[in-house]
Amino acid sequence: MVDYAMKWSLRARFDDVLARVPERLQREGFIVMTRVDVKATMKEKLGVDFRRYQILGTCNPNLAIEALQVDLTAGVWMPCSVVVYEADAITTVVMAIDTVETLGKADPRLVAVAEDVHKRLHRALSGL
Amino acid sequence: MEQARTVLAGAGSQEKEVQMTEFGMKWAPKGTYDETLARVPELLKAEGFGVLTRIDMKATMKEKLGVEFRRYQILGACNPGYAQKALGVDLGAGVMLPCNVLVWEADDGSVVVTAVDPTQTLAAQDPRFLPLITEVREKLHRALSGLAR
Repeated sequence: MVDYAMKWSLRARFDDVLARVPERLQREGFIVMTRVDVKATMKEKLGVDFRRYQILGTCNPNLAIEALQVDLTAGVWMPCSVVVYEADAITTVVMAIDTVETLGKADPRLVAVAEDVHKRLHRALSGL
Repeated sequence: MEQARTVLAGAGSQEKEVQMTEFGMKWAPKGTYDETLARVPELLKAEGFGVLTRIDMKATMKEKLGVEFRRYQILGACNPGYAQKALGVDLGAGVMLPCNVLVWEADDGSVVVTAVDPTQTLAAQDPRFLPLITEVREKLHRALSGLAR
């Protein structure tokens, strides 16, 4: 398995974690701009029951513009997806895309900004 | 990854041509920016993708940073059937979802559509995802190739 994400496994309820992620991200300048409720989408589109699972799209506008000034197509990696899902009744998993592996590996000129994003996401979510 | 020579600087500044790596698959649609924005979701839908998220970068940059930015939107597209398969392979695959489609204005005012190429992502390095991402790439490509018509 390719290591493409950071992962935290928390002894906490899904709803509590979901509520805390945006405020943690905000401390590092990230705004939650989009939200996909995978459970609701699976139910609505496929009639399938899926675990509680949300994908939050988060963006730090200062770092986003820095990346876009280097490469206008860097938007294909934005926003950064942070996943929150229910592993079991008492365990919630949080994962965030590893931008050093995506953005940083894709374009050497974006390594610095990718490392900055990675460091900030890691710092924000480690506080959970 | 395609190498292209692109003018980075905008109008009014000294133009500087740089060697730049372009991400994703690219189309030059017929029609205006607004027409393209309206058309992309229809074309995606024909291949089973719903547009689940939308970010207006111009408005975000203005609101959050007070900066003028070109017209630029990021649409998050998802084909629920394929998403379900990907999550079945690995629950963490959600960090690579949804598939982004960019609609933006180039320096000369022309409209550009750029979609993530799933075969350029990290998922391509994992053999378990390969058949899936190859099919998703084909579907995205088929959908958005309709922009040229």
